[in-house]
Amino acid sequence: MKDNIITLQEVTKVYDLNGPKPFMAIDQLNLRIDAGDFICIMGPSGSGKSTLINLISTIDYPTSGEVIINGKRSTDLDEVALSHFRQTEMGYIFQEHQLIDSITLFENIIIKHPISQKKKLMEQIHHLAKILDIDQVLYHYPRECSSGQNQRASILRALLDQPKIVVADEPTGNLDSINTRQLLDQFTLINQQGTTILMVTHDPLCASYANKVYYLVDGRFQHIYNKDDLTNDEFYKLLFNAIVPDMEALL
Amino acid sequence: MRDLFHFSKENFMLDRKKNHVYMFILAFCTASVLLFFNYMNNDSYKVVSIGGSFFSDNNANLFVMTVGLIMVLAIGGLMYVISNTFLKQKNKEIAILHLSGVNLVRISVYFLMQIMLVLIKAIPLGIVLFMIMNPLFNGVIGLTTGMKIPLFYISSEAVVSGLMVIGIVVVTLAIAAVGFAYQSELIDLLSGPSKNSKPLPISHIRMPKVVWWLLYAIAIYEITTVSGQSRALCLMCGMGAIALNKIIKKALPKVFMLIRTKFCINKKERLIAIGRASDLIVYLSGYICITFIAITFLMAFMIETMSDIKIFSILCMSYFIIIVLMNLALFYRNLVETPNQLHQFRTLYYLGFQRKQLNKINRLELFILFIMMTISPIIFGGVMTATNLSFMPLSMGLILIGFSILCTIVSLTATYYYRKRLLMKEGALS
Repeated sequence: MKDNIITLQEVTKVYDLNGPKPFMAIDQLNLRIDAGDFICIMGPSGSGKSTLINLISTIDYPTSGEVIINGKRSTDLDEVALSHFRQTEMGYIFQEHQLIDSITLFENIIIKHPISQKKKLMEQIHHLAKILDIDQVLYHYPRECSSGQNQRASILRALLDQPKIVVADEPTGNLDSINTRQLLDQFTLINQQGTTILMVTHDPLCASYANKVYYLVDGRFQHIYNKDDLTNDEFYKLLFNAIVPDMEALL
Repeated sequence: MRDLFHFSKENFMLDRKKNHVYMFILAFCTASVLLFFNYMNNDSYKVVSIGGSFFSDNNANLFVMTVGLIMVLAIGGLMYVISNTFLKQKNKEIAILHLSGVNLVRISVYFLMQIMLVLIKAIPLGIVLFMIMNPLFNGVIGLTTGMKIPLFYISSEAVVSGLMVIGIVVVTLAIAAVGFAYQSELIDLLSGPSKNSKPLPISHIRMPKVVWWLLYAIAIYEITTVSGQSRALCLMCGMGAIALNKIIKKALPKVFMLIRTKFCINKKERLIAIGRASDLIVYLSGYICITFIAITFLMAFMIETMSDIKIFSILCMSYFIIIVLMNLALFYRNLVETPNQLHQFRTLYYLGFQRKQLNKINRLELFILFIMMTISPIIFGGVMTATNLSFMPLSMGLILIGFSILCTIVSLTATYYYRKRLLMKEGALS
């Protein structure tokens, strides 16, 4: 039995609850995230992916239901405990790089991590920087780098020190195909070493790296695909089929 | 045209708090312009032989007129700068309108309406403020100098001249508003309103940074050698201002980076606060230098005219008005910029920073800005006062410097609480 990291029980999120037009973004959702999972959440725009990721990463609270982190309800944890969880156990990769403009990429990377073991951390930073191809711009300011380089720096910040869980919201949006593959390979590597990955994406290629794919529509999981229960061919076929209705609607 | 007016009015109302501060500053500027024209046209202020005066009567009157004119120009300039800040926030609006197919003429009219919506209230409010400030101004100067000045004296010529100057400023603002839609590339407009993240322009003249530190030190040293000569003091302060501008832009970012990497690597809040302050100081470099010039030049003039109580009082009033205006402008700039900075605090919150840590960053950042804004006027003003004690008592020097520090504290404290309120607001960080 794998260690449970986060569980969502009957979680509902309604925006503008007391307003004239309440909007239900998440509708009685159940989800269990265990150590070592590589989960991908897909779905059309407005399906509730970002809301779900905000709830999982403890940035937002559910209207009803429970988000359980390491056995404790998120609503029972105070700000100190939540910030400790986000700082030490979770790596967050934003849709856009979200770096602080006024400090260098290196400083942006270390602001989340304590430098008690400086040598080990520096080795890790330089090793990952080389893999992500930003070792040449590590001491530059974000304004001096391309958006791809900034995005990779933000990825490095999230992957550093091997957090228990990495939450990535469209991490490959600013990356070219080579860097996308490198990132996904890196995700696979750290996942094999025990890190849980939770990724939101529109890209079936990215989703194909996951073990489980949840397809979200109107705040509910419409399909759940588990790689272990299917052959590779079936899994990929289902992934591509899942996005067909969206593509057709778009066309 | 009517739909454009409604659209403009609706968008104006969305930011009404900020727009009201902008309107109040413009009203205060209008009142100050009218006040100085009124004083220049008031015969009661005309200087007649006073023992110990540095000026002959004609020179003194010329001096009084010059001070008034410089003040009017400075206030007009400030109105323009603040309006530019107001318009720069509209970058994205222009881009969106432009991309939606609205032609540039209609966009220009839209911005003209936005400016006019402010001016239409600011100018009458300014006139009312002038009616209140005028007797106070006359009363204070009358009390301190012993001159007999009618409290409610208003010169019709002054009002006409003042309104003409305000008219010129209004036309300039209107042209600026109309031209604003044309001046920028669409791609630049879409990149957002903040200048903080843009690289600094590269200067053609490259000097080692040590040159600017030396120039700054020489200016301070030279002040100690000059006694009671305002022009020489102004020259030194001007030199100091040039050096200060270059130090802020070229040398300080490196100094701050060194401090961060050497001393703050384990102190995350300090690291971020110093980084942010470093950028903010560069962004406000022009403003810091103008404040420095206003304080030191007026102090230099006061040192020479201390024995002439009439001129001195007028210089004092000018000093207080310009300091208040500069700090109002600083507050307005911070007010406008703060919401653009909120996403950075949000990122930090996502990364595990607590609200109290974000507040600490906010506090520290503004404290560093406060130090940078006040240190140079304190050094130059202090040295000027110390070496000219025979011309200006220490207490007067302390009052002048203290007033400027107090106003900066008030302006930055207001900024701090505004930012804190935004950060603490429910949902602001999620």
